[in-house]
Amino acid sequence: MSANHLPILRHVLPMTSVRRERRLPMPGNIAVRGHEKVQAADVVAEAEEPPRHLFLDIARGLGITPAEAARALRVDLGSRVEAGQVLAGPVGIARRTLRAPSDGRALQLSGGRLLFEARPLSFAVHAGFPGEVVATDGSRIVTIETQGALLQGVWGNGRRGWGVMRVIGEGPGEHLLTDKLDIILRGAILVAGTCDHPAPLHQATELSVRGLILGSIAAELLAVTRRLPYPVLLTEGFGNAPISAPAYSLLSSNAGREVAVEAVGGDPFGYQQPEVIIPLTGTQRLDRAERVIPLATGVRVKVIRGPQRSAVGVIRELIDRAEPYPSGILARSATIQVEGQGLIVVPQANLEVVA
Amino acid sequence: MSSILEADTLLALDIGTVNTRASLFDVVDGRYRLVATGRASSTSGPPLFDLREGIHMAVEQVMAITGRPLLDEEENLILPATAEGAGVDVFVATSSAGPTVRAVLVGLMPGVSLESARRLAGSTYLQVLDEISLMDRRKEEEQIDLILRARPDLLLMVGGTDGGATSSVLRMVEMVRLAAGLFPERERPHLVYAGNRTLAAEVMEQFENHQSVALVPNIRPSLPQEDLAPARLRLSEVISELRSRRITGFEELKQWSGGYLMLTVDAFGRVLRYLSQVYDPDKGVLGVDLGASHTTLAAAFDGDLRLSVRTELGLGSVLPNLLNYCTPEDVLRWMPVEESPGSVLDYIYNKALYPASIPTELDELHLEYALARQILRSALALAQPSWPEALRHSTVLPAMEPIIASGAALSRAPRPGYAALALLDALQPRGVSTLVLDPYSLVPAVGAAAGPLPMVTVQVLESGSFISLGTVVSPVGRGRQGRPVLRVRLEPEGGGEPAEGQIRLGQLLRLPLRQGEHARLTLRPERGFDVGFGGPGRAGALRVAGGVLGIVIDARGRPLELSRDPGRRRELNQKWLYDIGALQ
Repeated sequence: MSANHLPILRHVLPMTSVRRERRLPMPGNIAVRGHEKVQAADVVAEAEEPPRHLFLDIARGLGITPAEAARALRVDLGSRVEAGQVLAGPVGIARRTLRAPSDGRALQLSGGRLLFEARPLSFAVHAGFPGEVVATDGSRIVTIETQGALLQGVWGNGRRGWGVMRVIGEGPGEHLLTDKLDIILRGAILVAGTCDHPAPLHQATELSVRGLILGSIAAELLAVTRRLPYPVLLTEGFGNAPISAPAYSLLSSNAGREVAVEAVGGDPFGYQQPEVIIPLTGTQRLDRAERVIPLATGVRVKVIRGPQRSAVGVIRELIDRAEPYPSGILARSATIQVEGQGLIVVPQANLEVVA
Repeated sequence: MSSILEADTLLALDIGTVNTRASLFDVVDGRYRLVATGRASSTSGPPLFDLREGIHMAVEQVMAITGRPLLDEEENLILPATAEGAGVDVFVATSSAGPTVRAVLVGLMPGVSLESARRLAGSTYLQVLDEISLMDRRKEEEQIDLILRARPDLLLMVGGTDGGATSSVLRMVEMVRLAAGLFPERERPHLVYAGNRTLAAEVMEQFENHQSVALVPNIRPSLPQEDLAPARLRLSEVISELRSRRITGFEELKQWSGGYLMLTVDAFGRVLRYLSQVYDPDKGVLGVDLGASHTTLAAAFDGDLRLSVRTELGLGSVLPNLLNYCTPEDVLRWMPVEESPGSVLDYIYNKALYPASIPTELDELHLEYALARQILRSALALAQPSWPEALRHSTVLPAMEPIIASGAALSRAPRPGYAALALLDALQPRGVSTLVLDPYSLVPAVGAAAGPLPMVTVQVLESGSFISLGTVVSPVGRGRQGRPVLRVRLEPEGGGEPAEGQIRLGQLLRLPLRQGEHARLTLRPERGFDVGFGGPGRAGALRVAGGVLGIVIDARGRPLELSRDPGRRRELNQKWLYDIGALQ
C-alpha cells in the first residue's frame, strides 16, 4: 500500500542530543561565543523592544517654513541623540531651538517634521537550559546544545521555566488538587495528570512554582492558564486524559532533576513544539532525534483521540482496506499492539509517532 | 490526442492545509472524465514545510490506481505525455495551504474606501491585523508604531476616488512610506497602492529609491463604483510569493503548471461565476468550501461573483476562533445527544491541536457536524454584507440554485444525510434548490483547468463526478407547528407511481427519486407560504432531478426556529437525522 499520511512526530526520548535555537525577534547583540558553556539563566542575546516614534514639528516649533527645516537640523539623520540635545536651531532673534525629548534617534525629515525614535527598552533572551553554544549568526540566533532527555508536548502557555522537577501523586492520571500542593514544592516544576479547577493553579502561583507539566487540562481553564506567571505544558491536550505511559515513565524516572520547561510553540506554521528538556551531564554526544518518521510496522505510536486516547503501542499492521468505525466513517487504519489492551484498530489519521 | 479537444490528459492538484489531492482526467468517448483521484496528507506545515512530499504521495496513488507513470525517476512530472502513455498533457494546480498573509489596511473613509479594502481582503487569504483611516483618533506616530508592532506582510493603501482627494491620500502614503522604511530591509512589507489613480505618479515619486510599491487600479474609482478584480489579481500574486518564501515546493509547482497555479479560492470562484451564467439568472449560485484553515463562501448572481474567505473560521487549527462568534451553548443547539459546554470546549481545542484527526465515535461525529453548522452560519452572516445591496439584509438566504458543498468534513460525511442536514440547518435555503457535494474537491481543479482547457469545466461539471444530494424544497413562512403548508405531487418521468401528499410545518421528509432520474414536481403552497413561484400561496410545477437523498422537503420553517427546551431540541435533532437518512 502506498503511504498517504505523514503523522506528527512527538519525541519522548530518555537520551538524545538536543539542539535548540534562541532567537531574537529582531536583530540585536549576541552575548556569547561559539563553544561557550552556558547555564539556564545566562543571557545569550539582547535586543531592544520595538521603539516608540514621535513627530517633532521643527517648522512650527521654530517658526520657519518646512523647506528651511532641513537647514535648521543640527544632527545627522539616523544618528543617536541624548535627551535635551539640540536637534534643530538656534533660529531667529530668540535663538529658538528644538531639543530631544529623550534619548533616541533622529530618523527622517518629512514636511518640516522630524520623525524621532525614543530609545527603546532592551530585553534579554536566556539560554533556558545548560549547554554549549554550537552556532550563532552574530545578530539574532544562538544555537545551544545539550545531551539529555526530551519530552515533547502538545500545548504550552507561552512561558519558559527552569527548576527541580517533582512528581505529584502516584500515577499518570493524578488529579491536581490544592491539598496536594505542599510548601515543600515551593519553587519546583510540578508534574501531575489532569486539572479541572482554577484553585490549584492559583495556589501553585502562591507557591512560586516554576512550571507545571500536565497530561491535560479542562479547556475552560485556558484563559486562567494563559495568565499564569509560570509555564504550563500539556502532554496530551484538553479534557481529562492522563499523561501517556512513556511520557510519565520518563518524567517520573527523572524526578528530582533540574529540567527546562519550554511551554512555547503551537504556531501551526512554526517549527517549535512545547517541550521538557532534561540535561544529563556526563553523557557522551549523541545523534539528534529524527524529524520525520513515516507510519510503518514496528513504529511506536500514540492514539490522539477517541476511546483509546493516549494509549501508546507499536504498529503491527497497516491495513490496506478502509475500516469502518462506530461513527460510520471509513478510514485507512493500523493495527496497534498496546500493552495491557492487546490489539486495537485505529485510523492512521488519529495516530502520532512517539520516538 | 483527440482532434476536438485541445489535449487528452490533465492532472490537477489541490493542496490544502490538511489534504493534498491529485485528480487525473482523460478523454473518454470525446468528453473529459475523472479517471482517478489520490489523497494524501499535506506536508506544507511542520515538520517538512515542503509541499512536494504530499504531492508525490497523492500522485503516486493515482499512478497506483491507473498504472500510468506520471513521475520520472527524479520524481519530476512527465509533461507532456509520451507516446508510450506516460505523463500528462496539461497540469494545473491550486493551493490554499500556507500561512495566512497578514495585512494592515490604510485608507481614507472607513465607510467607503476602507470598506472596499475590507471586502477585498475578505475575498482572499488575508488576515487584517488593523486598519488606519482618516477618522483614526491615533496620532500619526502611533499609527507608525502600530504598523511596526503588527509586522504585517502587506500594507494595502486605498482611498480617494479617481480625481478626488489628493492631499489626504498623499499624507497617508507618506506615513506608510515612513513606517515601511523603518523595517529592516529583508522584513519590509509588500506595498500595494489601490487608491486615487491620478496620484499614481506622485505615489511612485514618494517611494522612489526607498521601496517598491505595486500600483493597481483604484478599488473605488468613484463613490458608487467598486472594482476589486485587478487588486485581487495582484494580491493573489503577493500571497503566492509570500507563501513560496516560507514553504518549499511552490516554485516547482509553478514550473510544472506553466503559470496555471492558482489560489484555490480564485479557481473556486471562477467556477461559481460560470455556473451563475448558465443557471437561472433570477437565482444565485452558492458554493461553500469548509476547510481546515478557512471557510469560503462564493455567491454568484448572474455573473457577479462575491467571494468571502474567512481565514479565522475552519475545522482545523483555527477552530477556537469560532468562539469569537458564538458560545459552546450555540454549538450544542445542533446536538442530538446531551453534552456539556465544557466538553464542546475540550473538543474544539483538541481538534485545533490535531486538525487531520477524524471522529470515530458517533458523539464525536455529532459534535463535528454541530461545529460545521455553526462555522457555516457564522461565515454566511459575515459574507452577506458583501452581496448585492438587495440581498444583504435578508434574514433568509436568497434563492440559490445550485448549492455546491466542498471540503472534507462535508464531502466525506459517513452518510450523505449528515452533509445535507448540516447544509440545510446552516444555510437554510429557500424555495427550490439543489444540493451538490464535491467529494473529490474538483471545483478548484476544473476552475484552474478552465484556463488551458475550457471544455474540462463544462464536461466534468456535467459528469457524475459530483454527487447530487437531491432537490430541496423549503417553503418560507411562519405558522403554528403542524399546520398544513404545502401539497406536493411528484411524477417520475420514466413512469412509475406518482407520490402525492400534504406537508405540515415542522416536517422534514424525502421522496424517492434516484440520481440521474427526473420527475415533474408540482407544489401547491398554502396561504402565507412561498416556494419561489412568485409569492406566498402561488403554485407551480417544475422538472426536477433526483439525487442520493431523492427529493427533500424541508418544511421546518424559514428561518428555522429551534425549540428552547434542550430535551425537545435534542429529540428533534435526532428525529431529523433519521428523517434525512443520516441515522438508520
